[in-house]
Amino acid sequence: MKRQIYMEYRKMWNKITGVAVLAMCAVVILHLFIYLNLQYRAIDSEGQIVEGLASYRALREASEEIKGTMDGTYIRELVDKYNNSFDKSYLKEHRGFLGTGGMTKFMVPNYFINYAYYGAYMSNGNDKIGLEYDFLDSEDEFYKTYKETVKEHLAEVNPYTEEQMNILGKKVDKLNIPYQTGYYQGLANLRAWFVLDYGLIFVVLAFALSGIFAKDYTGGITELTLSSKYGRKNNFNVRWIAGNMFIISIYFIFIGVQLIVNGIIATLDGWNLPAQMFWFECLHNITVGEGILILFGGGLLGAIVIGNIVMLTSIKMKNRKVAVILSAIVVFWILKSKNVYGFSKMFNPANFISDSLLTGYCFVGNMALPYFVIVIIFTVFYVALLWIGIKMSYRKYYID
Amino acid sequence: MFVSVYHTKINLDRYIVRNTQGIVSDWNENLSEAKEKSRALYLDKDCFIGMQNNENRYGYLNNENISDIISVNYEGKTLEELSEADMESLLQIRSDKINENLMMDSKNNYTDTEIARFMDKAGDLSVISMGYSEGWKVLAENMGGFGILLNIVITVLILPLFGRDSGVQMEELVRSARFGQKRLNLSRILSAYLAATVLYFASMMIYFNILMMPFGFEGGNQPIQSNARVFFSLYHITYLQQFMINLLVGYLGLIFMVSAALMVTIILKNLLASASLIAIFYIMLIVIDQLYVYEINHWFANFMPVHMTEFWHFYTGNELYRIWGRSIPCLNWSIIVSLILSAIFLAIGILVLLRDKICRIYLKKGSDV
Repeated sequence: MKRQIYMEYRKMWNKITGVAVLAMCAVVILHLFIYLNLQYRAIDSEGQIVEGLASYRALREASEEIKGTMDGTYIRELVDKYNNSFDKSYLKEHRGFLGTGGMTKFMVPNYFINYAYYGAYMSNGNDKIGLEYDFLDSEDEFYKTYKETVKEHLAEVNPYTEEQMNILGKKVDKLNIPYQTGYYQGLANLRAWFVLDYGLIFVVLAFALSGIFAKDYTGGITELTLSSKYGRKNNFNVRWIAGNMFIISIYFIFIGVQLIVNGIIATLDGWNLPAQMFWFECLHNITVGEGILILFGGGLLGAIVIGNIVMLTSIKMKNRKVAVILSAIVVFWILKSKNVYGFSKMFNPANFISDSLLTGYCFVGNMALPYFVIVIIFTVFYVALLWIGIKMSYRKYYID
Repeated sequence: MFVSVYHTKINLDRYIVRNTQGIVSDWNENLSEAKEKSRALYLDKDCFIGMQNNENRYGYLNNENISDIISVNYEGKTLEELSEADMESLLQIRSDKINENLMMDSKNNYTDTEIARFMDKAGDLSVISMGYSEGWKVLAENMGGFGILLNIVITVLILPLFGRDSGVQMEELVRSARFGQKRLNLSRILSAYLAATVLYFASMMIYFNILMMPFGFEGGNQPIQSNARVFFSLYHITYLQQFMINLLVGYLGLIFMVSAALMVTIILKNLLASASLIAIFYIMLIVIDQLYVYEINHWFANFMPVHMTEFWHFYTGNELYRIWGRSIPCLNWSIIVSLILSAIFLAIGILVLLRDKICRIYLKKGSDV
């Protein structure tokens, strides 16, 4: 069986897959290099403006100064440092600097502090980077304000009941404060471009997997396959497993390219910072790196669901070209309909990479289930349903 | 046809006037009233005073259109807040605003001569007629999206011309026939462009007729500045002229994709491999279109079909290209570059098709020496 799976898996790596994967990698690399080079600039440790790809390394070097644990002493020093900095005076004169891709070492700690004030209305602009708040006088006061803001934020954007808010409130109280801060721009880029280019995987899967059960394709289903002793049962399992292995491979190629290019440009430093530095209202005591791994996990599950939809289309249509067109329409529809509000958006596999995975909860009685658990449950349900659909179609598969 | 009907339905729904009790007037009543009350209506002091005295003088829709223009021209002021001096200097304020935008623009770095030329154009507009033209406005709003859809569908349809289908296995036989090379290649290339042309114009005409029918065809001679979205445009053209320009630009975007698809299928030969490359190229263009970076749009996306069919930026962006000391508007330069790129793609495709012949000529020359 292992040998058979391997042979079926190898068949999927044909010219079509090669061209599609190369095109996907080329687009990802070009997007990252061109946009990150053109869009960004940073204030370095000398107070100079550095533009283009070099700005990330300059920012990382400058950020060494602000690394530390955000306790009372740190916050007081940060306020002094920021108020006397070139960055503050520059931002004051250049409105919109941050909004147009500019970066300063103060972004990470100052945005976190500003979140405590703005809550759900926080955004990354240079009008929300100042440190003139009374609650910064003491560490206790700051974290108390932060926790209250998190509770208000959660209640504002989600329709939680009072009882559910009490349960979440207990989670807020258990957050491991005070937090570490530092540089994580490479990881921020990684997350942003992973989300932006994620749809490319679906396109590759639509083209590469559409022939898996087609009768008009040399690597597809033949009379011989269907009439041999273990043809129907064994061959179906083998193809399905190989198909899923193929999905995982494509996904890892995509992630690999993202990690390598982002690592080269801005490094993956900041992996160990607390997730709250990035996802302010996150209630899990995890690191930024672990948070990104959860998003990657959600992305993999979304790709598996889409891949299985393509396999079902392939077996239903039996014709590779029709399956490609139908799969492309389904993929387009899934991507287009992902922007909805509320919990229903979690039904869409294209949203399995959403930040809600780390910040959202679904309640079953008094049990708060994080969204990433819901995504796992949805994936199991979708894949089981699709597997049954493919299996039933394969039993009745005839070549006329 | 399905898309045309769907777009028409969506757009007509926008013309239904509702309040808390439900529908106040349906789209038909709303449009008929606008048609009736917009005869000899001009955007001027009399119009503003008429509206101030009687809110319903020009009907709900004309009221909305005029209020939108007031809002963009007078920086958020409402009709009631306008003084007589404001009303009298409508076009002067428009010119000042255009001038301010040109001076503030940090990306194009306009020279004094360019600004003077733009301002001359701004001064050319002496009166803005507000006659009924809702159908043309809706058409201008939606034909870009339809153009992209057509572009994708037609590109998919022409892919099999040179894309080899492994299931058929007839390519070698066809190629070895008497007319299998030169004449067949020429016929396929010509039929690609011909089919694309016929399909594009036929589909656009169907779309035009279906979309315009409920709105009525009148208003094609109205200036595009009667639409708040292009109020500051320096193109002093009518809606009909705008439609013709958009139609042409959309067609050139299609020619670009047809040429690219021919080149890719000739090189790769495999139908689905070519289709996957074209699909990923489209996704890349769509992502680029969502992320606004001036340099990328200026040097790349402006010549690509997705951004080209986002027609609005041509009329309102005032983007310029400085080529050999001349300032060329974005619309003109996009057309030129897109055509040049299409020709280059086609030439590459033809060279690949003639590869064997070219090699034979070289070998023959070599053996003669």
